[in-house]
Amino acid sequence: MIEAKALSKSFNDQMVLKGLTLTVSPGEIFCVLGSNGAGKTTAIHIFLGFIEPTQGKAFINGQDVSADPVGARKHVAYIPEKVALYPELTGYENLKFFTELSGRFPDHNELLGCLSDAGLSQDDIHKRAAQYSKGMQQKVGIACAVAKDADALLLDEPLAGLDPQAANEFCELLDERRDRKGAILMATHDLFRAREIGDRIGILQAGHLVEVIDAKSVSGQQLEAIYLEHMQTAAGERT
Amino acid sequence: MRQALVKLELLRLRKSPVALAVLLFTLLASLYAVWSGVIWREHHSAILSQHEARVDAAMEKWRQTLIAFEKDGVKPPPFFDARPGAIEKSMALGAAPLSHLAIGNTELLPTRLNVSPARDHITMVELYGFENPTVLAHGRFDLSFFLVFVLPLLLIGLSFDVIATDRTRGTLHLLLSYPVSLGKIIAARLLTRTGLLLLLAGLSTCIGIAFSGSAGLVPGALWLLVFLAYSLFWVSAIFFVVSFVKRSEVAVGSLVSLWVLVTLALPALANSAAEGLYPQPSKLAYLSDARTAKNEAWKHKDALTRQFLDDHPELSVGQGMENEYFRAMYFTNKMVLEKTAPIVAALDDSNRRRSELLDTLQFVSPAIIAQRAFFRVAGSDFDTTQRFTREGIDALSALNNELETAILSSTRISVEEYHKLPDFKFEHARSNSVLADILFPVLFLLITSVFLVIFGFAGNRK
Amino acid sequence: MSAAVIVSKEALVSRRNSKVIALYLSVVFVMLAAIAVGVNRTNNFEAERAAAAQRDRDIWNDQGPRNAHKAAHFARYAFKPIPTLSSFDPGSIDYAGQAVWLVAHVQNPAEFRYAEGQGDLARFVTLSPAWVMQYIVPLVLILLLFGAYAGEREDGTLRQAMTHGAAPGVLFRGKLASASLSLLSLLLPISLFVLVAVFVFDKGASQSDLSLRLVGLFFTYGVYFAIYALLAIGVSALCSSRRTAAICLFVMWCMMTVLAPRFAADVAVTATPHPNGVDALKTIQDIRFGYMNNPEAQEQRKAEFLERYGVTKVEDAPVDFRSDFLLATEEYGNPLFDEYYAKIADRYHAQERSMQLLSVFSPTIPTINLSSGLAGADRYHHADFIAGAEENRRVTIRQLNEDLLYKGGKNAILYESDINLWRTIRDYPATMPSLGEFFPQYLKMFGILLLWAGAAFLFARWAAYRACNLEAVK
Repeated sequence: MIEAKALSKSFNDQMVLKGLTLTVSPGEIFCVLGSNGAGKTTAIHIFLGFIEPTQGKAFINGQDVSADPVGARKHVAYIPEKVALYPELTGYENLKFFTELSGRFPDHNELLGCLSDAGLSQDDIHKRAAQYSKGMQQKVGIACAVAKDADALLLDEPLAGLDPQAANEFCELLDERRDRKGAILMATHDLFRAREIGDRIGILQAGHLVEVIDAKSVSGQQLEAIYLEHMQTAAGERT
Repeated sequence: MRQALVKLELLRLRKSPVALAVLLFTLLASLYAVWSGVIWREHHSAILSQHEARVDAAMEKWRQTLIAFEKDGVKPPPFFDARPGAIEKSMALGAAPLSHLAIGNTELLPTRLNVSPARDHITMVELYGFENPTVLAHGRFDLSFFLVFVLPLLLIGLSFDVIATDRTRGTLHLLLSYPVSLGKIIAARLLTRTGLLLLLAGLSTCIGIAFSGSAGLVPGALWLLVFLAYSLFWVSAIFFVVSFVKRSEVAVGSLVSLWVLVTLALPALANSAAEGLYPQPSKLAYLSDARTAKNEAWKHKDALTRQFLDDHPELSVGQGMENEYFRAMYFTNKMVLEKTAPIVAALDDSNRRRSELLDTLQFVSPAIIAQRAFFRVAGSDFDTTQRFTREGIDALSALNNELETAILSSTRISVEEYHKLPDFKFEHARSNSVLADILFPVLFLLITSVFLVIFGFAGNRK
Repeated sequence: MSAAVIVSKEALVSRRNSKVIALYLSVVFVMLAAIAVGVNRTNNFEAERAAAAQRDRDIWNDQGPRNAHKAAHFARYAFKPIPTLSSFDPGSIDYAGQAVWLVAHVQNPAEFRYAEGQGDLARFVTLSPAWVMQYIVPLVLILLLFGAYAGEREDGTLRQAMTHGAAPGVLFRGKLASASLSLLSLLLPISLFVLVAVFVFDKGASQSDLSLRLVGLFFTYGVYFAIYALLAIGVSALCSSRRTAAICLFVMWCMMTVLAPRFAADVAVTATPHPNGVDALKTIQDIRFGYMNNPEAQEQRKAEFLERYGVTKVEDAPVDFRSDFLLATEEYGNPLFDEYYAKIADRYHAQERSMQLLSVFSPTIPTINLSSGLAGADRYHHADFIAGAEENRRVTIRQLNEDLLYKGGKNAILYESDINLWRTIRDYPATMPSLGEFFPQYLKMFGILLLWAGAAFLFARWAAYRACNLEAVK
C-alpha cells in the first residue's frame, strides 16, 4: 500500500508539492498525469525516502518512510524512465546483484523465473546488458521489482522512449503485478496508456492534486479534454 | 569562419576557470624554473671564481718569491719555494650562456681542475661531491625539466577535450552543419588553446634567455627552436589522439599514457638498454688500477730516476732528499698516467659508444631528443663534461712537457719562462657545431609532427 | 552482507573488463622487468665492490717496505656495502659516493658516484621496482577506480542500487572492500616477486633485519596505495561523470607523484644550496694544517711529550718527536672534522626538512624517503657508511703513526715498515647498519603517511555520502 498524508515539499521557498494526499491500495494502479515540473517526480522521491517532505508523511505498507528510509525501500520497487544496469554484467547478474542488495537471496531458478515472467527471452538472459534495448532494460527493471517481492511499485515515466510494442508488453506486465496485489503508482505523460492501464488517474498541477478520475468512467477523449482544461486554467493563472 | 572559431575559443577559455588555472600554473611554474636556475647559476659561478681566485693568489705568491729571488740572486729562498713542480693552473667548466636553463650534468660532475705536475689525472680534480645524495637523486626543477616533462602535461590538460565535449553535448552536429571540416575545427581550436599556453611558456623562456644578455642570443634562438619543435610534437600528438578517440576520458587516458610512455617508460628502457649494451666500466676497478700503478711507480722510482739520468747525464744533481721530492712525485704521476692510460681510454671509449648509441636511441622518444638538445644548447650535456675532463688531462700533459726538464734537474724556471706558460681555458662548443648536433633530431621531431597532423586529418575524415 | 554483495559484483565487473586485465598484466610485466634490472644492477655493484675491496687489500699488502707515514698517505679505501634491498629500491645510492679514501690528515667526502657515468639519460628514470610502486601503481589505481562512483552516477546505477535499499555506508564499505581487494591482488604478487628476488639473490644479510625491512616496506606501500585508492574513490564520488573524475585524478597524479617530489627537492636546494666545494676544500686544508699553524697547541703537546719521557729536550727522548707530531696532527684535526661534517650534515637536514614540509602536498614524498630508507639506500645509511669509514681511517692512521712512534726510533723518517705491519691493518668491515638505528626518523615519516591515509579516508567517506545524498535528490 502506498499512502500520502498532506505531503508538501518546498525547495528554496518554492512549493513544488502542496498537501498531496492519496492512497494506492494493493491491486490498484494509480496513474499521475501532469506537465513537467508538476511535482510527480518529487512525490516519487519522497516515497523512496530520497528527500524529506517539508510537511506531511509518506507511508509504504503503513511504514513511515522518513523514519526509516532504507527499511521502507525494501518493500518498494522503483522503475525509472531509464533502468540503469551494469553494462558489463548480464541481465541475470544485474538482477541477482540488485536483489541481493535489497537483502533477499533467492535461488537460481527463482531469479530465472522472474526474468522470464518479465518477458526476457532465454537467449537474452545471459547476454551482457550493454547489448540490451531500452525495452529489455525495462524488463530487467520489472524483474528486479518482482524478485524483490515488493508490495509497492513506483514508476517514473517508464513508457517514455519505448516503441508501441514494447510499451504494450510493459503494460501487460503491470497488469500481472496488479493481479498479484501490488500497489502501483505510475507517473506518466501518456494519457492513452494511463486510461488503459490505470484504475484511477490523478491530475497533478503545480503541486496540487487537482482531480482524481476513475479511469473506467471516462473515454479517452473526455480524459484529454479534462486534462487540457486543467492545463489551460493553469496557464491562465500564470498570466 | 576560422576567425570566428578562434574568437569563440578565446571567449570559452576566458570563462573556464580550469583553463585559466592551467595558464596561470604554466606561467608561475616556468618562471619558478627560470628563477631557480638563475639562483643556482649565481651560486655555481661564485664557486668557480672563488676557485680561480684561490689558485691565482697562490701562484701570485709563488711568482713574487721567484721575482724576489731573481732580483737578489744571492740569498736563495727555502728549497720548496718557487719550484716548478708546485706550479698550478686552474681550469674550470664555466657556465655557458644558457646553463641556468638546463643544469644537467654540471651539478653532478667535476667542474674544477687544478692542473699541476704535482698531480695526476685523478688528484687534479678538485675535491667535489659534497652534495646531499637524496636531493641530487630527485633532480632539478629547471626550465629543461619544465619544458620536457611538465609542458606536455599542461598542453594535454588544456586541450584533450577540444572536441569531445561537443561530441557528447551534441553541438558537434550543429557545428558541422556549417561549411567547415572537423579537422579544421579541431586544428583551429587546438592552436588557439595551445598557442596561448606556449606563448606564456615562451615568455618565461625569453625572460630566462634575457638573463644572459647578448651572449644568450644565438644559443637562445637554438633553445627556442628545440622548444618549438618539441611543443609542436605534443600539439600534433594531441591532435592525432583527439581525432581518433571519441570520449574525453579515453582521450585524456590515452594522452597521459602516451606521456608516461614518452617521458618515463621509453627513456627508462633506453637507459637499461644502453647500460646492458655498453656497461659502464667499473670506476672502482679503474681506481684499483691507478693505485697499483702508483705502487709500481713508487717501487721503481729509483730505477726510473737512474735510467733517466743515464739518458740525461747533464741533468744529474745532488741526491739529497729535497731533490728527490719533486722528481719522485713527477715520476709517480707520470707512471700513473701511463699505466692508467688503457683504462682511461676504455672509459672514454665506453662513454663515446654510449653517446653514439644514444644518438640513435634518442629517436625512440621525443623527450630524449628534447632533453639532450636542451642540455647541448645549455652546455651541460654529458659530452661537454667529458670533453672538459679530457682537455684537463691534455692540459696536464702540456704543462708537464713544459716543466719536465726543470723538475727533473731540480732547477727553477725564470719569471719570463713562467709568463710564457700556457693558460688553460675551457671553451664551450660554438653555436654552429651545436646546431649541427641538434639539427637532425629536431628535424625528426618536426617531420613526426607533420605525419601526426596528416594522419589526424585522415582520422577526422572518417 | 550487502557490502559483500557489492564486492562480488565489482570483482565480476573487473573480470569482464578486458582493459583491467590488460592493465594488470602490464603492471606485472613492468614489475618483473624492473626486478630483473634491479637484481642485475645490485649484483653488479656488489661484485664490483667485493672485487675492489679485495684488490685494495692486495695493493695495500703489496706496497713493499716503506715508511709507515708514507703508507698513511697512500692509504686504503673503504667501499660502500650494497644493501640487498637496493635491487628493490636503489634510493639515492647512484648519487652517493661508493668509496672513501682513508688518507692521513684529511677526512674526504665519498667519491665515485655511479650516476656520474650514466650520461644524459641519468636525468630520466632508472627502472626499479620501487619506481613502479611509487609512480605506476597509483596511476593504475586511478585508472581502476576513477569510475567507482562517478561511473555509477553517470549511468544511474548508484541511484538504482539505492532504491534497492543500499544505504550510503553499505555502498562505501562495498567500494572500499573491493578497492582493497584489487589493491591486494596487485600488492601480493608483487610482494611475492620481491621476496623471491631478495631471498634468492641475497648475499648473506642479517635475516631478521631484512625481514623487518620487508615488513616495513609492505606496510609503507600498503598505506601508500590505500591513500591513492581512497583519494580516487573520494574524487570519483565528488564528480558526476567519469570524464571529470578521470581528469581530476590525472591532474592529481601528475602533481603529487611527478611534480611534487622534484619540486620539493628543487625548493630544498634553492633554499639551502649545496655545500660550497671551494669553501669545503679550504676548511679541510685549514683543519689539515691547523696543528702546524698553532704554536700554542704544539707547545702544550711538547710539554706533555717531555713529561711523558722524563726528559728536558725532545732529542733526548727514546722516540722521534716528529712521530708524535704526526699523531698530534690527527688528534687535533679529528674533532674539527667532526664539527665541520656535522655542519654539512645540518645543511642536509635543512634540505630534507624543506622536502618533508612539502609532504603536505604529496604522500609520494614521504613514501620515497621511507622506501629508500627501509631498503637501506638513503642518506642515513650513507652517513652510517661515512661514519664507519672515518672511524676506520682514524684507527688505521693512528696504528701507522704509532708504529712509527714506537718502532721508528730516533730518526723515524728513515724507518721503513713492511708487510708485517700492512697485514695488521684491518679492512673496512662493510657491515650494514640495522634498521633499529634510524627507527625514530622512519617512524616520523610513517606517521606522516598515516596522517595522509586518515585524511584520505575521511575525505573519501565524506565524498561518498555526499554523492549518495546528491543522487537521491537529483
